[in-house]
Amino acid sequence: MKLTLKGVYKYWETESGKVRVLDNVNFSLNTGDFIAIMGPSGTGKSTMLHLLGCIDKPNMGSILFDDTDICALNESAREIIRLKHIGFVFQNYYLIPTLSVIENVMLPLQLANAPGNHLEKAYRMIELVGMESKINENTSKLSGGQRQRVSIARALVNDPILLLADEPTGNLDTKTTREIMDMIRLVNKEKKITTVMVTHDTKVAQYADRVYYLDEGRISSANL
Amino acid sequence: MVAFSLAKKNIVRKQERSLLTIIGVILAVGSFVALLSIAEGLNKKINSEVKSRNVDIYVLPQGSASLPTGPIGGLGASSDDIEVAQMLPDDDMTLPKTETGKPITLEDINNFKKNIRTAPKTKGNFIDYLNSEAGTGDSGDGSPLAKIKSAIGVTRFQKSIRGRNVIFWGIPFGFSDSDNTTIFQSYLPGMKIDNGGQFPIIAEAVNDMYACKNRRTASQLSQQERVFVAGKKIAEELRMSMDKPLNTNREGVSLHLEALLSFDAGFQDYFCYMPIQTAMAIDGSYGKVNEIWIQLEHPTQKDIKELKNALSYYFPDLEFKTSDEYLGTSAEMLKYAWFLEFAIALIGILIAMTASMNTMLMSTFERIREFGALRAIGAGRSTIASMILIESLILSMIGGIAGIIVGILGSIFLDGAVQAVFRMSFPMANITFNLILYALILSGLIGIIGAIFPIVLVYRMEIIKALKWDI
Ligand SMILES: Nc1ncnc2c1ncn2[C@@H]1O[C@H](COP(=O)(O)OP(=O)(O)OP(=O)(O)O)[C@@H](O)[C@H]1O
Ligand SMILES: [Mg+2]
Repeated sequence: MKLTLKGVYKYWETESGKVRVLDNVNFSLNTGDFIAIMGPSGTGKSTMLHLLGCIDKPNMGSILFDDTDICALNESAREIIRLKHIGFVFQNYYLIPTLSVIENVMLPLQLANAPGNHLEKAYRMIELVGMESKINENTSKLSGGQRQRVSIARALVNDPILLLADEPTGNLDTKTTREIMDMIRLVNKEKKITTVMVTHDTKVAQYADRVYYLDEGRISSANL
Repeated sequence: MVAFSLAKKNIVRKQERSLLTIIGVILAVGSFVALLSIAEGLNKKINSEVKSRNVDIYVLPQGSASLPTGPIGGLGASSDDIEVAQMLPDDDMTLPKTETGKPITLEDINNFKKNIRTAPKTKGNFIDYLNSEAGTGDSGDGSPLAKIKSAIGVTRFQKSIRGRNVIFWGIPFGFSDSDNTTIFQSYLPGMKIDNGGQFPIIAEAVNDMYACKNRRTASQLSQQERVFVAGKKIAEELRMSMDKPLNTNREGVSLHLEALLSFDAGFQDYFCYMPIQTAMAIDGSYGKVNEIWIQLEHPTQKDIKELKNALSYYFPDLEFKTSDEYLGTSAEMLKYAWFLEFAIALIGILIAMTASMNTMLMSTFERIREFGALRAIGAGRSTIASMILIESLILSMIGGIAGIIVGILGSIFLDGAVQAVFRMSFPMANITFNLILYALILSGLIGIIGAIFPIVLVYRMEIIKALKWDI
């Protein structure tokens, strides 16, 4: 899927006035592109992923999925895009605490009424992230790294065409980081999933085809 | 389906709170069912009792107690003191005039009965008379007024026997004028002789009114008149038997139990009945009756109404009621009781609604981040709304069903209490299909109302705000 940002502005209304987070952001990705976004804390990296993920809307500008401006769609259309076409690995995981590992991973399949055996599909994803020993564990009992892996499995289970990953390895050790990044890289190449990843880690960023740098609301290419 | 399993999970996760909500609903629905079952039961009993009588028109003293029947009525007003209202027919006139200030005698009642029988036969004439005498009335359709087949005076008094208030009815123990049955059976057709015994017939009582003409005391009653019959329930309860005379505590006169009666319906199994003259002698209420019961020749609803209206016009000091109206006044009293009970139950329901609303709202606030997360991965607002609704409905329906069970148990308990108060040994509570239906609807309503606020909240909340929500 081709992804294009045109003149995207985002600001927050706070008591001390408008806080500008994204200030005329423009870039575009081709199908299967894999980019990494870096930048200091609090510059709006997560905010930008939320905009791409149909979770939030920019104050100005447009975000095109192929030729469709997702900002102009109504809520139910955005719901379908979120569910069927986007995989999101959140910085704070946002797993459902009442559900077990397998149930969390199955959830997008159930919500989308996806064909095939949900249990089997979910199990395969969990195997991929190396969590098969914990499938029936409640997610509230998992460590940060384990949660991160479950949330990656959940993001990939519906075969998205756009993967948005907010520091997917932030809580992982070097070995697991490598495994997870190899995996993300693999699905990106194999299934041509357009991938946008936020990271603080230059080593992780090297898995991407290109690296952007976000600071003071503006985005620029970075050379590592 | 997903919504359902998510709702179930949340109920299980917050066990204590779920349990509290369920208990709230149980209490509300339980008290609703228990209280209203008693009201329903009472209604049914009185209904069936009045329906089991074959009386077309009741004549009552004006403004008499609205519950003239049953142990309830007996307990309510001291009905044995109510006299038939003052009315004195003029002997010279074919149609009696009313004149207040003088007490009615049984002879008057008998005259009244005869006079009505000899009233102008066509409605047209009757109405003419009304018009000429009083200047009001309706010319009607010219059809004749219905004929009265028979009218009897009935007395009622209470007496304490072994610490229990027993209601005695005085009623003519003779043969009916026209039917080949006793007067008693003609007016109370549901009566059956329970086992052994024979219903006593008193020759002098064929015309009840004359039999009571002269004031007599209990000791002046003939041996034949010193009898009574008893409903089998009261007889069982007080261990009355046909070999044991019942002492009336008045001049040492005792009465002999001649038969045990059973009825299909109502409170009649709890009453004792005796010849009207006996009742008057024992009660010391000679010449007074509590009610006059009238049967028509070939009663139709229309005839009964017409005659009732005519009588009401002639005797404004008396109240004439059709069977339905007679029941209606009882039912009206019951309706007050029903509304009172309903109001009490409603308070419970409102509390349960508030509690369930609170639970659902708390649970929603706690889970706003979770809802945000669900929506962020693509769950629709409707999925989340149905999840909240299902959760609320599961809690309220579990509470509702358990509440119905508790209510049924509670009604058995309440029944016991009511029976202890009224000293009756038959179940009063009546759990009707409608009552259960109402209880289920109310439970559902509790669930729906509990879910409304949270659903509105979820619909309005932006995902990004939900995700960053701080509890
Ligand atoms: N809902 C909000 N209301 C007001 N300000 C917000 C809101 N969400 C984020 N911000 C502000 O927007 C800015 C960007 O936040 P964002 O989470 O996108 O940063 P980030 O680049 O992802 O940082 P980090 O690397 O620490 O994750 C921050 O200054 C933050 O305080
Ligand atoms: Mg961030």
